[in-house]
Amino acid sequence: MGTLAPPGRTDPGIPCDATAESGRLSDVTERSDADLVATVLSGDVDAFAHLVKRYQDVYRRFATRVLGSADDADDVLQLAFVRGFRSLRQCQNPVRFGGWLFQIVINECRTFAARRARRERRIVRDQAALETTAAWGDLPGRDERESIQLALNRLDADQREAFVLKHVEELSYDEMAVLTGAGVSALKMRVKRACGRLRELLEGVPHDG
Amino acid sequence: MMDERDRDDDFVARISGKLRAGVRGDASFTERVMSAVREEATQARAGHERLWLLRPRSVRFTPLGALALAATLAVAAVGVDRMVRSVRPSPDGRTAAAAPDTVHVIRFVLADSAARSVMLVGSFNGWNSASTPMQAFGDQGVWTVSLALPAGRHEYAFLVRDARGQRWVADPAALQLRDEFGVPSSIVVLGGRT
Repeated sequence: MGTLAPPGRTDPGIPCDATAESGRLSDVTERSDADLVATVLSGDVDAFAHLVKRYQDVYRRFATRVLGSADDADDVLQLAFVRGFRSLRQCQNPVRFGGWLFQIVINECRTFAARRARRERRIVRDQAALETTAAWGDLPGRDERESIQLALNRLDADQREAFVLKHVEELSYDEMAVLTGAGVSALKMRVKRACGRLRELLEGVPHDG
Repeated sequence: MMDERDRDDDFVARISGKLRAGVRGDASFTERVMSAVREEATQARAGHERLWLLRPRSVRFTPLGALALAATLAVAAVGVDRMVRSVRPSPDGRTAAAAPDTVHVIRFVLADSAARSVMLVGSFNGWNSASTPMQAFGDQGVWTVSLALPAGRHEYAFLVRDARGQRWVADPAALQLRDEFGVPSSIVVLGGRT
């Protein structure tokens, strides 16, 4: 994972317990990630709960935006934490536990999305009909965030992932390259295409406030 | 006057701001995860205790004891050779019956000349798309990976990445099943268990 900082922790110097999310501390324990990882590996399984509390909100946002469903994100996140626990001895740099775990979350999201896309293609065969469905963003009662999420859902998976990492999680392209395994130029192209497509899809959707 | 780049920046800032709002889970999330984690830890401990029996130890023998041990090991070596075999999933998903604790070395193969990378996902790796990459064998688009798996029933599929993106592919050479949503996976049953 190198020196990658997880989303919400763009400054690697920030102590793990000081991470704020949505204006509140996501975990109040004073203990560092490395300390907690060492404790878990020594046999105190319950110490893993501190890491779950610390990272769940940050990664839930990513998974929800990428998968377009809070329920699916919840399932995927649970799988990712369990997989992280199972593979904890492979976390070579526990100081960077958050970034290491984020890679697992991304992989779990990709696997889930690939399976879901497969079954959705079977349910809705006429993609052209979907593409031409008008006014999906203008339904009364739908707020702007819902419309944006729906537009995001319609992007290619690679573009959606890149857009969320760049503009929602605010990672650098170098960080994204480490996490996704894609090259920086490819990631820039995906983000550019995602922005263009979102602009098309959201044209005419009224802004909140 | 606002140019196109400024308008793009404004657009991205507006939608990103909306998407950055936190998404809260329900209060039981941590406990649900920890319940699964504790179960995982219990299973790992049980596996560790089984491995303890196989851990190397220093022992001392009398000359007569050494001869008896050599004879025993010769018999055991024949048994292990029979148990650890390289197999491929057969069309009916089964391999020959074997002892319950047998480890099977199984080779997964997919032929796809358009693939740029192929990952093996299955019940044995938690359907993780990053843990089991397949290797290209030659330049004819044949992808393989060999795994040591315990006896029992295993479901799997291939995640194929090509120029069009990523595809979920069941093994065309093996028994397939579909989940309740119609998503196909393949099955291999090792050691005759179901």
